[in-house]
Amino acid sequence: MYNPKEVNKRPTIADIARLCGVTAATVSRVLNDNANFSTSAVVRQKIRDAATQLGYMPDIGARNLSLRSSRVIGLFASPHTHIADGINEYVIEGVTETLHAAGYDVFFGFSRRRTSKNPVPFWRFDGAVLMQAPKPQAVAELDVRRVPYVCVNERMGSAAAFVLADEESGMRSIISHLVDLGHERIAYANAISYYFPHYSTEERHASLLAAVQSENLSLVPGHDEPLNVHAITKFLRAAVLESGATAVIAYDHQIAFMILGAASEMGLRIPQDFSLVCFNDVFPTAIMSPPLTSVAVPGREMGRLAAEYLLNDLLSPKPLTGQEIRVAEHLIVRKSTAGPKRK
Amino acid sequence: MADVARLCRVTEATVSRVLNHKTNNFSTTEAVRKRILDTTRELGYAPNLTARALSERNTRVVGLFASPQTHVAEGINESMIEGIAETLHAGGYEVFFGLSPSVRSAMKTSPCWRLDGAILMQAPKPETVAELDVRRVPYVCVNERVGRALAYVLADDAMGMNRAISHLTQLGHRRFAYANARSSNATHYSVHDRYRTLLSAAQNQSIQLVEGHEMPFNSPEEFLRKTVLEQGATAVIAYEHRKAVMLLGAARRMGLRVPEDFSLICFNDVFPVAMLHPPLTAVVVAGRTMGQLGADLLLNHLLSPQSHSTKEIRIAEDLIVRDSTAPPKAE
Repeated sequence: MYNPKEVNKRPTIADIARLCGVTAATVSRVLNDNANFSTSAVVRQKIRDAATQLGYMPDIGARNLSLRSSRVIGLFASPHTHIADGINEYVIEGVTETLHAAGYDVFFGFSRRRTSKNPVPFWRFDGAVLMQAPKPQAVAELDVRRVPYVCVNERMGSAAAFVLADEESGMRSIISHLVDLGHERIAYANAISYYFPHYSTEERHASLLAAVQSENLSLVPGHDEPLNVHAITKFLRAAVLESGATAVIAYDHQIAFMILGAASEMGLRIPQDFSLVCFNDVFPTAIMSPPLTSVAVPGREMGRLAAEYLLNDLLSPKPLTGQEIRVAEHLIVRKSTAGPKRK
Repeated sequence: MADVARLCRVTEATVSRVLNHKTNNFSTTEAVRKRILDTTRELGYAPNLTARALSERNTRVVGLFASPQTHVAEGINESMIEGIAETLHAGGYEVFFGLSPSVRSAMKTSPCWRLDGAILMQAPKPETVAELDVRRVPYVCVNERVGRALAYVLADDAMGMNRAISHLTQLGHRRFAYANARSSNATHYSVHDRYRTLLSAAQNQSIQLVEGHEMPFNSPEEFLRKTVLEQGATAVIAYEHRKAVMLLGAARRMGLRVPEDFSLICFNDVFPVAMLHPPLTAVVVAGRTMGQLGADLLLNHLLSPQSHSTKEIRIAEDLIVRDSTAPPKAE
């Protein structure tokens, strides 16, 4: 039962002072371990006990007011971003755990119903982390207010730093795994059109072309256009049955699940009839049947790094100037890849 | 604000009154007003949240708390958080994110002074709940039942389980198996509510429940061997989607087909149950609705605070029928 009138009756130093029969100044000095001040151990203990009993907490608000810092960081992304999509969950966790550990609060700056009139909070905050495709109005507002920000898994605006996945390392590890197994004809199921503006789409594809060329592999047609999710069966028939690809690389895990379903409908077995490997080692690639060989995009590490770069930018007198940090991807080999079928 | 005042050649008090839309005992010309607003914009001025908290005693900030082990996107958490965030944003509030493994250390230094209210999701730390209570920060629980909340918004798991059972009995199933929750989840109300509803259906003899439901779900192969192969269960209900994904994989490895050899239903209509092969029949736990309602109840309280008794609200669960359920095999 809440009495609204009591909501703001937080215990203060004055309450402790009254309870202990000392002045507020004495309480403040004891609780702040002020060394230029002496008092008896008994009084000291009495004050500490009273503070605990009353649930007293120092008013960080007042402290921050004198420091001109809010110790608040905003997290921004597209209004349509799902927090469980791909590596987003891990990025968010990496960002928040790092900022919380440093004593900062994190607020959620995006949702479907955040209005464009109010793209960021009206009050002051210390910095921001931008994830996938935040609204241009929000980025513009950060620039106007000179709020420093870092981009993670995204490249836009004048960020203090960009923390990105090293897509080339992931694609190279896939290709070298497939070459080791003896594959020569490869198919690529590209991203759906929604993800085409994202840097990962272009970089995975460019790295694929480079790796295929340097390893002398052949790439079957269809790799350079957005995948049509309503025509997975058609894609698989063309790639595996008609063009004879023995391995399929999927842009992400969702596409891999659809391929798994389509293969099962068509009576194709994985990895006996073709090998399947995808980007994003997220739930539930490891417990699919078969468990999928996949590239781990290190979302948590990217989130942590982004938060650390932002903290550095806030705490150091010299602002960062938009350097790009790449975090390596690595391959986790499971049961969906094997040597190609003998002819 | 001092910068704005200097540039506009007015006093800080004038700037403050214009920016805060004060009209009582205060008037200024349209030109001055416009100059102040333009300068504010140009300088990128934003009011200090802290100062506002001290002077107005409200921040329009709501905190979101859960267990530090909670994954933000697990199960229905994603849709719940989205429902909470969009409702609070539409109401002009910001959402502070109070869950992460390191939030405990932060709670010491980032206290609730910023918060007008809070929303508690799955298993927040007792210290957090205690602190909210001590500081008299009003809070609503969504999909959880802890502390002294203004309201508890919970899923109607009995309804969901009854819908699953009646769908299966209409298809002709009589022998049921249940893949129960892991013991680490066992304190959550959904574990009890789903299980109790199933047990009472079995007691009414509308269905028969084969052994295996009474222990936490462990190996999916062992579970299917025991329930489907040895005891002849024709329908399996899974406490949640992850178990169903594992059961589907195990069935494939064991040469069992879904739904030909057994039907499968799970709770949580979340990624990727709709895109599995076969797509799964699932109970929809309406996370977004629950989040929206929880946020709405909190906003109502913040806009017109009244002392009132705690409410428990149950949100209906629906069943989405897909390809993983069918009539049992003819003997």
